[in-house]
Amino acid sequence: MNHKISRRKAVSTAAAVGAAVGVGVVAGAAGFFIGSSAPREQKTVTLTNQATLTQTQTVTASKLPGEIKIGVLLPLSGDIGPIGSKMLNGAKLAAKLLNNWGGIAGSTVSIAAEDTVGEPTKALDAVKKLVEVDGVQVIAGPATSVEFLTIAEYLKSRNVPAISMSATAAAISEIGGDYIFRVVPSDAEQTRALADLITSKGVNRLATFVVSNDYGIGIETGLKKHLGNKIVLSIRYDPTKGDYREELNRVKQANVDAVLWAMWVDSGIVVFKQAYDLGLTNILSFGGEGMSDKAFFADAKAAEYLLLTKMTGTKPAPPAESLSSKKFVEAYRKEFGEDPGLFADTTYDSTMVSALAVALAGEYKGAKIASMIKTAAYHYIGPSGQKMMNASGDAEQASYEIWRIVKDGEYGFKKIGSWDSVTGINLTS
Amino acid sequence: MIFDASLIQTLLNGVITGSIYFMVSIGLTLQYQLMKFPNLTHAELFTIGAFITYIFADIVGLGYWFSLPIGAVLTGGVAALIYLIVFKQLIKRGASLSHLIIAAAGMGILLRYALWEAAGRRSYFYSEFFTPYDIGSIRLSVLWIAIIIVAALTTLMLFLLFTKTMLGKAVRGLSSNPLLARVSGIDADKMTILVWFLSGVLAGLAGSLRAADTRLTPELGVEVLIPMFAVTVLGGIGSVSGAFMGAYILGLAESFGVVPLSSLGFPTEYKALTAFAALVITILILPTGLSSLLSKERTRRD
Repeated sequence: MNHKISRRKAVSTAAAVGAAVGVGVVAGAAGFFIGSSAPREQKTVTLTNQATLTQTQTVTASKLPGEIKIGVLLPLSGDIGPIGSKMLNGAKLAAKLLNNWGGIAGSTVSIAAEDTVGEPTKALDAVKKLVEVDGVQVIAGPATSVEFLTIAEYLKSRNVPAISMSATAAAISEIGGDYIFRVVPSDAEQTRALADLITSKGVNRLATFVVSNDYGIGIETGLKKHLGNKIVLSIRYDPTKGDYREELNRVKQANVDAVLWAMWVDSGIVVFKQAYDLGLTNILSFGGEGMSDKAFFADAKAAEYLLLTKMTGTKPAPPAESLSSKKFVEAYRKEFGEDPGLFADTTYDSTMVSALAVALAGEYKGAKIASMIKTAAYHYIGPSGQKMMNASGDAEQASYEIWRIVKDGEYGFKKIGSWDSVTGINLTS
Repeated sequence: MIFDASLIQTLLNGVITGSIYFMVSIGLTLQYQLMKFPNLTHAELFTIGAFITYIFADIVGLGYWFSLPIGAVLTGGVAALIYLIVFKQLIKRGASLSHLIIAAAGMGILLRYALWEAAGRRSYFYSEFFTPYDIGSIRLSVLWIAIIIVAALTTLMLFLLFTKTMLGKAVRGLSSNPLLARVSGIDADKMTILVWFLSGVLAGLAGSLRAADTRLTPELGVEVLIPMFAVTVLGGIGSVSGAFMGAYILGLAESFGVVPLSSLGFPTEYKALTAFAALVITILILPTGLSSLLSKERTRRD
């Protein structure tokens, strides 16, 4: 304990000295964070950093290569290729802006992109090519959770950090924090929002009715963590079975106030039809983002059921407009002549955080860069918001929209409030 | 306490599922009786029937109840055509049992992919609204009542057909001793076409009812393929009364299987497992199926 305190003291002293020398408050803060996350090298790193900021670039430039490669793993062909190709623009824009601003301590930033086709095995080939052939030491990507879970072990074995821009599976948190990071929140956050929503509606007895796969089980287990014994019955159903009358009868007999549904459209419609027929109608319905899909209205009875049980739920909200997001859209339009597509902002952010981590590490070595990623993210505010990470390497900031089914001529969804990790739930109607 | 309302509903749910299984399995059983090969194409007729009904009900606009018999009869026609075009020719050319089984499997895949191509991999829904009613603490919809009634009428009709009419006697004669039947002047070809037609009608009925209860997709038949064969085996392959018992045992086992599964916190997708456990146990105890319990059919089999 004493040892720790004295070390902290030393750090803050160093920071104070930095400020006194006239480097400025920013340098002091950066020195503090670098010092606290890598205490053994505190002295030298602090010095190098101050040296950089006081324009003696020769000290750091000697340790960084002339070209700093940021690896990018995205699906550039295949089913989700069209989305991935546009996401790549976000990474390109980040590199271009960094270079316009003078690069990283004089080194230029370049993008080394590899196509993962959105498939785990191809992603593994792609990451090996980046690391073994191109010598990449930090990666923005991959885009999907399965790909990330597949290549994680390899990344760890080669000490190369990766920051995903769109993988949201809760399971990634279990392996994240040292080499595995993401600039998006885990799906587990959405269950926190859902739990708050369900609690705010005064529900005391809840049943969960979920499709038996990662999506459904993820929501069920996430909710159990937050709602505990308010969940009196959990049904996991087989989506290929096509007949759920008895499962629904169990829910009816359990006498619950509300049901949380997490299903796919096809089997979901059957469930709602049969729930209507069974008379499971004196309950409230809740759901996650998968449930705010107009495809559920394909059957009149299913649609009527959702309206009758006042289906309410959460879905990820677009980031609030900020100076950063405004500038990003402007720059993107100027560069590519169109509006940024899905996840272009988070791809930009993961590329930026990667580059900042390289700058903070002062060396192009995977292990060192990895140790700087949380620090870089802590200070970074990008177009997709504040990117501060938790111990598992997940973005902490999450915001969700709260929606409810409405019928105004035809069935639709209406925003009735919001939830975010800072202020919690806020219902407007 | 044990006999509470929730279990009556559970029983009812099992009967509805069992009725669908019965109607689709009985065609397979009849075909087996006559031709001694399991027709894997049969499950696709379940889907085809539902689509034909959909075309008449929602595209032509005749409504569900009018279209149901049209769909059933036309599916019967499709079944008879499949026999005439494919299986009759194969048998004529001396195809063995394994040839026929593989041809049937191939035909089934062909039909399923043709449906995928025509309808796309999406779900369709009949626009008919089936009103649900509360009867005491039991919930019944018009459709569920229809499923149970149609299955009951099917049973009655088959019973009368096989015991009271010359036609039924001819089919029975043909299945138990083809040579003797032919000698006594029974037109084997006509009888086989008739049995395929009848199987198709029942499959089309069952498929249209199931699709109305759930959804209509080109995969509708795949969902019942395994239960259908299970029922046929459970009943004792080729036995009508055995298939009847098998269908309702499987339906009830699935339905009642959900009760302990959900109260013990297991995923209810294992309900298929409880149903098949019932199947395996039956086969272990009665290797020739439930029909061996019925003495009359046992002597015939021996």
